[in-house]
Amino acid sequence: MITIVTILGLQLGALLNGSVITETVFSYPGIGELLIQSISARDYKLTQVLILFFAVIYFVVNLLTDFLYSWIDPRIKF
Amino acid sequence: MIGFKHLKIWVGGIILVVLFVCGVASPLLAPHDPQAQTLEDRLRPPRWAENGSPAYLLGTDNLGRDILSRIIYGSRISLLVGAATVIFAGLIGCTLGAVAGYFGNVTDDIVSKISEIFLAFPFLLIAIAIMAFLGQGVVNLIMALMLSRWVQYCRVVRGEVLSIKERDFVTAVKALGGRDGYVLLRHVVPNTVASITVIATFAMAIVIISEASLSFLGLGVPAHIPTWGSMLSEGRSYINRAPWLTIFPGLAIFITVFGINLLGDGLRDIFDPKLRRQR
Repeated sequence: MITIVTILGLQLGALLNGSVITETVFSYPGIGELLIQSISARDYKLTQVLILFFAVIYFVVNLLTDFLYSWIDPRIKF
Repeated sequence: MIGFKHLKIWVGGIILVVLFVCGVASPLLAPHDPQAQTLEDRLRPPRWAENGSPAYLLGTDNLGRDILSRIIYGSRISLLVGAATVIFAGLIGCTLGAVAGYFGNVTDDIVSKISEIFLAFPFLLIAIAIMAFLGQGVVNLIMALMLSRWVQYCRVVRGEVLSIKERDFVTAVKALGGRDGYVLLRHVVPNTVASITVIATFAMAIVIISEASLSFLGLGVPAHIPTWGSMLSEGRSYINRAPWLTIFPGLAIFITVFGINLLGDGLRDIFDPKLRRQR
């Protein structure tokens, strides 16, 4: 169960980060495409914010997984 | 039951040995030069199909190169990159994950933050940066793939260790005077082997495909060296007219992963303490 939650967390983070390539290929207006557009327009501020956003998503998702650990298996403490 | 268990190891082992021999002895086994182009014979279907030529067992690609020879030569790079990446990434990831999970506190914070940094980096960005700094080559390719794959091992092992270290048998070993290193290596890590095997087998397939996408972008191995992944991506545009261009490299990846899966499953049955007790 712990392993499943870990993998789910990793996958969720990867999915929320907007599959950059998929969105660009199918020209779906998501964060991934916005990132590519901002890079090609040399819009550094937007790029920085988006990268920060990706990092924050991973951070939050990992934090949630850690909480889930101790909810699933109460013996786990940090 | 024991016979079936050993059957898995045998079948998996034989598949991997055959692939290894293909990689080592490719000049002896391949019927043609993998680079040789015969333009009259291009897009020739496999031998048994209509219009197939007896000279090309699995057909030829859009430049008239023999697919069987390219698969045999491709096994070199694909297996080397796959195995090296999975093993090294596994060693780094499992060590860091086990240490972080077991010792907790500051160690855990440091390792978790490092792994989050690596997660937040887009995979292609790390690969491009490494290739730009160090140049093209197989070793650099392995390093680039390794840097993106170790995180998964680390997170999974950490999670498992967090749960295992609180169980009664670990407390018992500690009460009997087991040192941290001993407890970790002898009692905690063996209980994570089952998950590590599963991740490693999946990672092998993903690594072979990622090598393809990097080679496709011109960041992997030089274009003239055949790899299974690059054969897949080259054959993709001919998938309607000549499906054998993608079927056979795909089959090669499938058989490799199948072999590793069987071997890993069999080895897990032997090494996993929980299953060993039931025997």
